Amino acid sequence: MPASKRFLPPEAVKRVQRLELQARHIVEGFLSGAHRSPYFGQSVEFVQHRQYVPGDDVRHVDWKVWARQDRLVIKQYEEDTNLRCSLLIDSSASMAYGRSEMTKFEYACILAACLSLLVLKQQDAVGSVLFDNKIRSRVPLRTSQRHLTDILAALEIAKPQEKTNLDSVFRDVVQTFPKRGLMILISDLLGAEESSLRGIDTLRRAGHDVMVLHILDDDELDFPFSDPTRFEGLETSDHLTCNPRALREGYLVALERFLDRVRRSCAASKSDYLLVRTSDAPDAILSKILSDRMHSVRR
Amino acid sequence: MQFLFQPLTWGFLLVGVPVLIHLINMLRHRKQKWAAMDFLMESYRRNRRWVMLKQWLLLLARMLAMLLLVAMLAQLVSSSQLLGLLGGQATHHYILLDDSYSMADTEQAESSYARALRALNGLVRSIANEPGQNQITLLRLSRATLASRSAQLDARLDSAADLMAQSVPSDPAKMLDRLAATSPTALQLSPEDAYDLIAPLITANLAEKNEVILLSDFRRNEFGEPESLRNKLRALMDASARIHFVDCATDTAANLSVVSVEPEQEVWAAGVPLMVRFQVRNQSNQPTRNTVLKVRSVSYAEGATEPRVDSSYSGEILELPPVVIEQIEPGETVTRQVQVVFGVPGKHVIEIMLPDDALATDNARWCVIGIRDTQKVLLVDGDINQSNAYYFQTVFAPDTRLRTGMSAEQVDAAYLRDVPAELLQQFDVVALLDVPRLDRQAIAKLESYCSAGGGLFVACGANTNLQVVNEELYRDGAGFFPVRLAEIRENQVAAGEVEPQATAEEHPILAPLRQLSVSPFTLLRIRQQLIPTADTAKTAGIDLVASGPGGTPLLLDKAFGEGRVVALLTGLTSDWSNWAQDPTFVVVALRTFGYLGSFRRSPTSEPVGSPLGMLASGTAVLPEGEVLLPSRDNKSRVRLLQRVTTDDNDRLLSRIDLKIDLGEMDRDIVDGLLRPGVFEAWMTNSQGEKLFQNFAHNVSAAEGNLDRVKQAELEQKLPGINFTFRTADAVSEAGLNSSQASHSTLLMCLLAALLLAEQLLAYSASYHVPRTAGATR
Repeated sequence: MPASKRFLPPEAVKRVQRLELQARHIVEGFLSGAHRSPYFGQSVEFVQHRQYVPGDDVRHVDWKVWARQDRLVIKQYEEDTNLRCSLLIDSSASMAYGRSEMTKFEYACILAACLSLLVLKQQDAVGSVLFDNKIRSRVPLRTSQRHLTDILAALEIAKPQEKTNLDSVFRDVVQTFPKRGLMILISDLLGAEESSLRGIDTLRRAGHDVMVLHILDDDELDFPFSDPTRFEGLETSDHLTCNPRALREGYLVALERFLDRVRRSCAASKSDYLLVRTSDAPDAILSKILSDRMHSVRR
Repeated sequence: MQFLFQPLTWGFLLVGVPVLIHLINMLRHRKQKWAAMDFLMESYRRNRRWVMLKQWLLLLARMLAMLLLVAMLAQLVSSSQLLGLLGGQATHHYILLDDSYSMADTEQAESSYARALRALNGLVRSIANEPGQNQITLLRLSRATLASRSAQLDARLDSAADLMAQSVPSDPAKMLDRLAATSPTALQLSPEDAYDLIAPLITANLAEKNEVILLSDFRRNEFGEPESLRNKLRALMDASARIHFVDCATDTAANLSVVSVEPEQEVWAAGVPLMVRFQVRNQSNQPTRNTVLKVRSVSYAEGATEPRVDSSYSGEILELPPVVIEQIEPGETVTRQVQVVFGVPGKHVIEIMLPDDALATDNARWCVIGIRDTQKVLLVDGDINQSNAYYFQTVFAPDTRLRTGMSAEQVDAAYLRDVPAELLQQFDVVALLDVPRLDRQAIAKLESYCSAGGGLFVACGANTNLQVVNEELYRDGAGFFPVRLAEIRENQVAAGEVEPQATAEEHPILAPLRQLSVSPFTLLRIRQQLIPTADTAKTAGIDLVASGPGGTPLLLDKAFGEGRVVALLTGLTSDWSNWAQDPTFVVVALRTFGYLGSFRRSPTSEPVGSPLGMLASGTAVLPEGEVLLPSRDNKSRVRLLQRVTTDDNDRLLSRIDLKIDLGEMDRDIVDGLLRPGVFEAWMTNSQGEKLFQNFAHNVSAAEGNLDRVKQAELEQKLPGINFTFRTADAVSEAGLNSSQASHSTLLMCLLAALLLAEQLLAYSASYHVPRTAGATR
């Protein structure tokens, strides 16, 4: 099955085309578009004055204010720019889990493909990074419609493996994408927790608008196992033979604590966070992402 | 600690099932690759000890539940002190075992008594396993009945009870060994005597729990109208005793009983044919056909018979032709007769035997007939010509070749005045034939003689003085004459009248004449007769034997003391009647004298268990005698040596007395004395001749009625009496289960609590998935 059909279900594509992705914050861009730029310059829409400081471009000094009030202020304008959306897709071994229709990685790929299509449809730039403990593939930011093929090809050849190390990977990403933009992280965040949270923080501190799509399988969230089972770690060599029902409550408590820490960390770094079940329909998830972002923009 | 259902104790192996399931689950676990190992490991590390503890507790709870379940099903019983605390105070079990002969009723090769013993075994075993102190008093109804005749209560119960207030060992088999060899007696027994015996003990030990358990077959004879029994049970209940009935019988089986064997009240003399009448009753619900009865006569010639231990009888046995009864309807009693002739004097025996049926005890019956050489009659004739006596002499000795068994002595009225009273006793019958007057001494002697069982025949006639009869012989009913005489009536007989002037009434004397199709009295003419006053003729106790013209009393029978008086209210001479010339006179005379002579005889049989008493007079007897007991199952008879006691005043008067004494006698001897059959008592006189006396002991025919009272009817007939009613089979399996039930209840409660705890523990161990899965969003 070609990657375009594998990761872009027709019903998802249909809904995606009707939606617009709105950046919540002003992102840096060099193409004029529907997105507001964080840069003040020659634009049509005046935003504010500010005190002149040495080093400011004297071309932006509002001389009329100087003539009337005898003080130097700089005129600032809001400028529309295009979106730079980078999809950071976790391809570590833990993403290979999935008992039902698809694995977490397959689900992540579908989400990534949908988002890529959406961004390209509105003439914005999109790129992707597949990583585990290091970056495994990188597709640069482009606005070309044909660029979707490159992204899907990169998703197609990827296989979940190795451990996760978000901190080191995201340091590389920040260097690779110096301009600020929207970073959409699609991961289960399982692995070294501190490293993961630190990695998200690194992206945010680099000025990126960060959205975390936290993908977990239903089994991981509900732990429905009842028969005696030997659990073997996907990223570790740990194993445990137990009666799952006896450990279920403790497991759910530990998971809930983890999710709570992740939520709080994202909130602290002003990153968007969304917990996604692999049983949820991808288009429903996309709708939720876009509607949340539109609301936040209007606010 | 024991279990009533031992085979179920194999179920304790099920205790291993939870462990086995656990081990199997360990082996059959599946592998699962898992991403979120950190949280799983964290949960494991955090809960490891608590989970392990709960796992162990759960496993233990499940194993314990299996233990309790099996223990409950296997009926755990224990005598341990710990469980005994739950049982409470000491318990005295009074077990009353019915050993009446209906308990020998055999159905499917097992008698009711065998079932009772089986139930007793189960009962005692269950009691042995009951907690707390338990005592057993075991009493057979036969022993209770025999002991109830004793004087002292304590001695009575001690000697009667098979087990007296004994503690029950854990293995009661030895305790019951001696009972296993017992069998039903031949007695008809009611539990009333047994209840009477134990009642004082129960009321004296109110601190104990008293359980009164009756193992019986609940026949209608004893429980059909249990008014008296109800009062006794109520008294026991008032003393806080608990009443239990254990039904040991099954459905009513077919049973025939020989109800009676009795010689006719005729002349019992050597060489004279004697009719022996016997009755057979069908005590079942189905008619029986072609029942063949075996009849045997056993002849004991005096002076020519030796005691024989190896035979059923010492006498000569003669098999008589069997009697076939074509059909006996349910509940019907059929009477038949056989004619026997004993050629020599002696105490002979007649045995009637039915074929085997469900209840063998009542299939045989015996009677002992004391045959004498002749019966002696004293004829006191008031006629100067002795014409009255002549008629009787002619009847008694019609021919030298023909024996009637009667020998008469002819005297006048003065003889009675002078004869010693003892000498008068040698006569079987005294006949007063038209005696005009008797002096007071003679009347007193006659009354004394008659009171002692002698027979008195009074014939009237021309010499009869109404006033004398009324004032001296009748004396307003105090004398021996049956009626007050009112008048002498002359009967006018029209020419050509053929209507009989006399009618035979319902009475043993004229019973053969009543069976004739044509009256035998057509030629009889009663010309004169004495008419009694109307009121006295209808006095109770006076039986009409024959009535005269117009239904007037003609021949009357009256009981006087132990004897009887028969009065003929007409004369034998031609001016009074022609009866002496009528053929019926022979029959009437022989049967009347045979009837009158029968009341001094010893009874031909007695109930089982009656005392035996042999009297020998007129000869010196060796001091040692013997009694042969009836054989059991045709084995050799038991010879019981008995001391012969001699009268202090008369060295020639010796006797053997044998009666059941529970305190002194061996148990086997008591059992032997309670058997039905013929007992032979033997003495040896100084000349070496054997003297003997036979005694026939028969069972009560009523006990052969196997109709039973069911539980519902018993509850109806014993209102206000709280009792439990169980079958022998149920009791032999599980006993009465009074306190064992509490063990089962206790175990069931524990099991329920344990299962509840197991569920909570399992829930707590997250072995129950909540209805709403823990969806974390």
